[in-house]
Amino acid sequence: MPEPLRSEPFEALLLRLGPDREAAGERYLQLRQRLVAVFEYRRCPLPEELADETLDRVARRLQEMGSEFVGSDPARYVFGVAWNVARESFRRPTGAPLPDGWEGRLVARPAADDEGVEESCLEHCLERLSPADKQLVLDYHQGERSARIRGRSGLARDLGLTPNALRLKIHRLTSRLRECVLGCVEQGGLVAARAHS
Amino acid sequence: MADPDPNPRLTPELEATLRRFVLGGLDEAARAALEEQLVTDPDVFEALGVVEDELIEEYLDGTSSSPDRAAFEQHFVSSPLRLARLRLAKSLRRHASHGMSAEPARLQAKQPSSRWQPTWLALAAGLILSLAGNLWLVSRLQPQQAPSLSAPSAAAHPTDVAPTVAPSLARAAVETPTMQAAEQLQREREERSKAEARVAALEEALRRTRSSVSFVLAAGALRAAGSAQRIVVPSDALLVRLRLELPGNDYPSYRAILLNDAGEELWSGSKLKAETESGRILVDLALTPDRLPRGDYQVKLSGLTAAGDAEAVGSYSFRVSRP
Repeated sequence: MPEPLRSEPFEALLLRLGPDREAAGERYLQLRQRLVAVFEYRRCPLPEELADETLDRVARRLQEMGSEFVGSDPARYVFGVAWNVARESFRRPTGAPLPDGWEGRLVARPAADDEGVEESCLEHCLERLSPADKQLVLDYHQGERSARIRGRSGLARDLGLTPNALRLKIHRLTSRLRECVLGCVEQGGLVAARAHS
Repeated sequence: MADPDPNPRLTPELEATLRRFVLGGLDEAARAALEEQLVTDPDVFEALGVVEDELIEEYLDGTSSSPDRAAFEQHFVSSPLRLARLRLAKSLRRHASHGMSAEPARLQAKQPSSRWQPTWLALAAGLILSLAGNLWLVSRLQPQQAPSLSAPSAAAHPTDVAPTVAPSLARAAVETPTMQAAEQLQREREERSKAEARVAALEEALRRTRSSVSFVLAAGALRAAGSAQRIVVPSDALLVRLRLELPGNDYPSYRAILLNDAGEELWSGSKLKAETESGRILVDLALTPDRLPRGDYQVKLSGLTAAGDAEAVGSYSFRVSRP
């Protein structure tokens, strides 16, 4: 397991991701999310850990390179490193150690508990959207297929959006919703686990 | 409502490629090229999310073709996080449709806006108006040839013709589309039920394969003294949780090293936190079973001080056997 990343290389990577530290941090998380997805589609074991390993290596290398690194966006370099990390992961014996809390998301629990937690999390996260966005998401997903399709073309018309723009808007809203629900379920799962212990 | 920032990558061509990517249909070169775009171009990654949403929707509707459905299950749902996404989409639909019957609740609850008017209802209404209009024209142009269709006074008052004629015609006009719509709705519900049953089966399969097994290990159990703790790892376990019991929680974090019988390091983990559970202080390690074939092992646990120094806390010996 690689040593945890010290702050200097991480700062070097953040600097490469943008002058505004907060925006760079956001870009870091997005880059990580994209790496996780690619590793998942490649069926690499432990995609989240591999994404962290990739970014750790990139950060260390950027720090070593200093001003030698050419270019303002290190994403292409990140992809090159990710490719190596993925290849190495397949050469390693399977069953690498799991990151903290990983099993909390996957350990079997009764289905009813899962659904109850998810339902309440969904309710909670829908309330965190603006009333208009919440209504839009619910309208978009309402009804059986034919009614939904009819409703959506009407929704797009009423909102003055093209069908593609509506799809995109819904995708962005549901992505936010999903992040919120996943975070909430993890916390709910922990709470439930503690309550049962 | 403001138009969202457009995504210039969301084109039919890229969507088709992404669809093949999700369903495992791209050759290696195309796949690698697309993966690079996914990492380097946020718009391409976002387009992937949109395509994934649509495939989830098709799957939940039961409208995917049989090969697409199989490919979706094999390539997309194989990831627990993506299965969670499928489940969330299902919950969202249930939530959105909660308490409604055939048509969206807003159709009944709110002033119906044009967007929720079902097409068949509009067609039926149009047909009624058209029939009424035709009858009015007939009555205007050929009043003497069609006296029996309406009361004599109605012929002179075209607007009165429709109410006299419309009920039976309207019923006929409405009932056929209503029946068709009901049949279609029934079909869609059946397809959805089948799709939901498949999702439930996938979830159950994942639950079975994601089972974990936990063991609490006490410090100082030495194999030499014949007291090594014995753990039996079931063949279908995905995770083995080793829970190391501590006398106290004196460090902000811990480091554990797993050694085999020959003293070789097999695994190490740092930044481990101790948790109190039922009055016991435990540090959890999670390992996949193939890390632990039959044999004798030792975990050495160190406490990490705030300055980063490691101090020995204890060692935990155990023997792994298989059922």
